[in-house]
Amino acid sequence: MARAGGLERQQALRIAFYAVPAAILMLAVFAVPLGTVVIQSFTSEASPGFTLASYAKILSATLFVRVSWKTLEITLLATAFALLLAYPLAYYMAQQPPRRRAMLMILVLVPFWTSVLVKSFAFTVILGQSGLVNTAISWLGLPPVKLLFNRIGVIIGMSHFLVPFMVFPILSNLLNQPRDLVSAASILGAGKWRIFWRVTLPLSMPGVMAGVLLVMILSLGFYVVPALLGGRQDMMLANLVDFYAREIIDWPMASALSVILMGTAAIAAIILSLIPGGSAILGGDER
Amino acid sequence: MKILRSTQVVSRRRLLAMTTGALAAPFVVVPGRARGAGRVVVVNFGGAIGAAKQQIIYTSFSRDTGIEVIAVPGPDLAKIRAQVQSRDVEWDVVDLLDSWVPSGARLGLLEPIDEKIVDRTGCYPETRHAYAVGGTIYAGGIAFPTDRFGSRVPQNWQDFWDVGRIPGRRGLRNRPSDIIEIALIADGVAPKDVYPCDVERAFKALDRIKPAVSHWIAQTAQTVSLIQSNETDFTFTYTTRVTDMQRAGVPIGFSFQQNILGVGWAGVVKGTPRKEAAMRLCAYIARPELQVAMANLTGNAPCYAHALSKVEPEARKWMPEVGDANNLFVDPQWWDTRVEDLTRRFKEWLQV
Repeated sequence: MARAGGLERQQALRIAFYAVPAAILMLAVFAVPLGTVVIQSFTSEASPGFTLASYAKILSATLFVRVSWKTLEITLLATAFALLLAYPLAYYMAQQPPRRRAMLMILVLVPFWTSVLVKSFAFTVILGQSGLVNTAISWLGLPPVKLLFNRIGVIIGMSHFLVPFMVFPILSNLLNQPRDLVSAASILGAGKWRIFWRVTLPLSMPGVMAGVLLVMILSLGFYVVPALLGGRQDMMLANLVDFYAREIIDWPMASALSVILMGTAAIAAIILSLIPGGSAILGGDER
Repeated sequence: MKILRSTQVVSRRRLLAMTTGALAAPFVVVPGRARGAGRVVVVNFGGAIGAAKQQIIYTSFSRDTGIEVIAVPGPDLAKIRAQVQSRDVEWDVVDLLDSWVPSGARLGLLEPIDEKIVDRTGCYPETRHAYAVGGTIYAGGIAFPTDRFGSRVPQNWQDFWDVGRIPGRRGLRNRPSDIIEIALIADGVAPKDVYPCDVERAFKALDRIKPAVSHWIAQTAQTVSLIQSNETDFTFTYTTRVTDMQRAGVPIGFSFQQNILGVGWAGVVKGTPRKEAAMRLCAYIARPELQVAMANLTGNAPCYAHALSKVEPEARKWMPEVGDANNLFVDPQWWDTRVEDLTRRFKEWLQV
């Protein structure tokens, strides 16, 4: 027992040794600047010393509260929509032979290679009042649909960007599922639908959780898409961070807003880790 | 195990070499700032106007002085502040937006303009600032499609607000600057009486136009692209955006009644080791004859009344009458301390 413990400790030490360079790098380029942001959020441009002025300002202004809720609302909607699009896609890709899958992978990756800004302008051409979709609709004799400069536009634009981030964790999970399980279930008489529902889907939950977490954290920081494709009410916290950091040059305010945004993402990560199967994504025990 | 050890020995040696190399790199690869007065780093907004600056201003400056100009894109007041605070100034001359000039001066991010080096005799007073030189005057106003409405388009801000008489979708910006001024002019305030702005009156006027505004535009490029794609009809935009569209064959027009005028500024970053070279470049930016050459290329007006007559007629057509009582120079000083509260109020107003 004692010997096993010693071995385990040795193993832990060896792992720690290999982790040191990465840890030092993360400390220098990530933790220190992040700490500076947190500290800065408790300062003020007006006077030195510790103050909660920025947080008080944020909590007392209706704009910040409203925009925070809107950010959460848009994030959840975009994540749900991306999941709905990505799961069937990942499922289909997992069933294809490797060469075909590689081809499909490239297609999924294409949105990665264009800037969000350019894509947002391109969406105007497709979804606009006299765009491709509405032209097609009017040929069918139907009234035009408003697909842009409202919540629909924001969700379409964001999902388009986010789908790859959802596809890859789910796909890698599906590919790693033992094929024998499906065969076993099939031999025991389960239909295709039942196999999916009782075997594949529950086993894929860690992948889904990873995708959801990744996409949610990304969505929380969006601001170009809502600004270009949204309506006047679609405003996100990141816009306010940008405003305070670059226009007002009030860095304590920008920091405080960032800390709130970061806290929200952290809470999302913690909630996910509490869900069974969710902890695997966050580096927990996978056995 | 043996293999592992042998690779470790090699990698340790290599690691040592690499580490030494990495540590020595800053001393071998001399950064720009260490080279002294032989060069000057200038930051501009790029695009066609950035190219024109390179062609006209930087080239003649380098030819005359022998000082090399390194142009980089993306002026950003926050980055200027980061450089000043860390005492690691890499930028020397930076193009500035109207609103950055008073805040940059207030926050101590800019060097005062050296009047002994920079000659601004005869420029419009609105284009003169103790901490920045005016390089150009740009004009904002109403853009409209020329194919959809015939002559029933708004030509001034009263028209723009008169939705009953001139129907059509409107597009304004999603920020208060310019928009507060426009609302007051639309409400009947004479341009000379706009400052200090009656904010309550402006918001009341904005309440009236709000239902007719289809877009509160975030990006300047959208002010004309939305007219082109028939998403909106009449917007607030700038002359250069309209000429770009016209060149591309888009049926779009611009009104020269009641223009909102702004200044394209440049400033010198506080604490630059190349201050003198930077000031000398500012002197070139302020030169009337170079501003005329810039105006011919870009369509933005020079900062001198006497220079305007030297602009080629074709480019002159796109320039506002600077002295016209119907036009308004934005006053960044008025905005300086108010922009935060007004932006918050404006965004809240947009949310409901």
